[in-house]
Amino acid sequence: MLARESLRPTSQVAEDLREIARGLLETGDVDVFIGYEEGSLPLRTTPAFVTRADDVSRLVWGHACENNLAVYLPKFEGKVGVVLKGCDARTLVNLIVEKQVRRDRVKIVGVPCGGVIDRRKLAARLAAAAGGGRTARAASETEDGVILARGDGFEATVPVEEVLSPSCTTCTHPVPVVYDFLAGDERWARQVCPKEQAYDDVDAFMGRGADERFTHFSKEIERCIECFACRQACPLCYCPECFVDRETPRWVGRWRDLSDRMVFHLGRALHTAGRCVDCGACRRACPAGIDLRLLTRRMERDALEFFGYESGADLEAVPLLATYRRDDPDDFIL
Amino acid sequence: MRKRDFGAFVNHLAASCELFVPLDVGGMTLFSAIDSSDTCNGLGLENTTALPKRPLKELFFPQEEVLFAFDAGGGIETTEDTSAQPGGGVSPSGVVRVALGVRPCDARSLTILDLVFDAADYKDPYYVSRRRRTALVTFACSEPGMACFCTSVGGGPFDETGSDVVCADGGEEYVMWPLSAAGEGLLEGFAALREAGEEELEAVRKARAAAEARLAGNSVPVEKAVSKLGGAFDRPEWDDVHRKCLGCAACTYLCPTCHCFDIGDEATRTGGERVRNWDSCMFPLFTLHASGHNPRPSRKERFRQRIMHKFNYFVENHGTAACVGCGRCVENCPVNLDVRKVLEVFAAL
Repeated sequence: MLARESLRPTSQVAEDLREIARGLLETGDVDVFIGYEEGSLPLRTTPAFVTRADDVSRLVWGHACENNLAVYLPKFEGKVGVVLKGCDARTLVNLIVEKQVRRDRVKIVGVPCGGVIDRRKLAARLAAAAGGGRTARAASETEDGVILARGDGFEATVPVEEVLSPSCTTCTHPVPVVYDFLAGDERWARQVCPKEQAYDDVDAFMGRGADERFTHFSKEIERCIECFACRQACPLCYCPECFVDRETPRWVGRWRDLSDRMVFHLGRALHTAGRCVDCGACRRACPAGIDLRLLTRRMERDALEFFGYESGADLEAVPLLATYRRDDPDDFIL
Repeated sequence: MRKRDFGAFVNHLAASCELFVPLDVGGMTLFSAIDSSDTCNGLGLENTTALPKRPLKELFFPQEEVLFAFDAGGGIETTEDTSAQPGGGVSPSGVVRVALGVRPCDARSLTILDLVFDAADYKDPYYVSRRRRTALVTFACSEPGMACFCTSVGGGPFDETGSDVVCADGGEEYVMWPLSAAGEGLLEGFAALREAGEEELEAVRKARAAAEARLAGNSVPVEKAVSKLGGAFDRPEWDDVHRKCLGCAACTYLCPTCHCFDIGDEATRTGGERVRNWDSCMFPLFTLHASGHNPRPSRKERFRQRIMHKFNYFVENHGTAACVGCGRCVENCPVNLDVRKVLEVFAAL
């Protein structure tokens, strides 16, 4: 057997995941183990629901493990093991705090995360490298964090760092805050973004005029086709009935009017205030690549700045919007 | 036509028709109206892998449309021009809209939608009118994408079904051939056209063979799956294949053949409009009864509906699967739930 130090991160993590999953399934500690397996397109993975110890070899790990698997937990019956990255684990903390998931029903297999690939960024890079409308036929990543892609008559190498999902570049918790098992080594996690830099883009955006900010969000939301992939990919959007699905009365019109789409997106964003951990799942799920993170991260920062509340950091926390303090100055209320 | 004359061709079409081309709007490619080649971002055949993200169906069956307006006094006004009524194909003089840069899969998708909206027993005047007024200039695919499987559902990278003109890459030149009177009308009067030489035709044949060979590697056992699905409604496999589905509508809304819709009124005190908009079988509201009962209560039933409708019910009703293998659902599924894999599961029963 190879010594731990001689193996590089992704393959060692995958091996660890398989061993942990095997153990959990064999002992009956979990009925299902949710991880990632090879997807059907180059550099895509897909969620894997493994129920037999013999199938653990399907499990993989790498920078293409983009989905937040905590999304499957709220309605899950039975005992489940799940692979969670740093941000994913924080969403699970929120689900536990909000009593949507029972801690004793979940075995958390944490992975020190190196960041995940933004498919759109990568596709744009590969299209530029390939030229002439050629398409990448195969792609893989090296243990050193480099993507190798090839198609007919071209090869391209792209450092993972240059095509990371934007939420990864401002990540403050690449190592899960809570876990039962850790696959891999904490030292393999991405460097933590210093807290004082994590909201630089939000500050820069707030420096722009109100009109300009409104135009920015309008342009993002204009592309919305109302498929609700953002909502469905979000672990925190677990309402039995979403407000936009209400029929009596209707909250959102039948038009694809921008104002109706705004109501949905802004309403959803506000519903995640003090809860969103910026895992980026909504942005990655959106077929139009809509990015409202400037808004959600502004709220995240407000929670931190005004209330000292960091979402998803503490299993014992009382949710921010469920607390009341007599000494709250309320000086923002008229 | 020499490649550098393509812009002139765009202008030729734009001069006499309302012209739609796939434009990139913030990463979301959709068919948009343009006035001249200046706004079409170098659209050309070299761009063959860029299947527009949004499907062609939107030009005929938009995501939302007003069917008519009404007022409290009993007046009803139809806002859409439905004067072009059923009866024959597009006449050269009747063409007022052209979609340029259509993919063969999308062109074929309209012939599937025709089975629903332009059927013998029911004709949707809104859809039919737009269909009659629109001609399609299709770009043959010389480099199919990784999610493409058109040849497994009866199409192909050079399939002509539904197109009025097909345009292919012939090396130094674009080779175009009309397939209908409307198509001939579009090419008429464009001065830069000349008879294709053997060299260009050979280049097109080679490109076609290469594209078809490429797709042979993406073969999906659709026929076999179709033959099994009829008896598969209660199979336990559904428990497994739907499991990672998030229940969003990215697959159905971006599908060129999905056609379910909802109709409702947007009314004020004095009047209102009757609106039709897309609906999706992936949503819990889709079949929710007024009583509160939902015959498709969970994602499993909803996912099964999508697969069964496309590959079983539609085949039984119309003799073809409601799928053209464009791969949009594969590319855009947030969790990479690949319809090809689902079909493989049922084909293997």
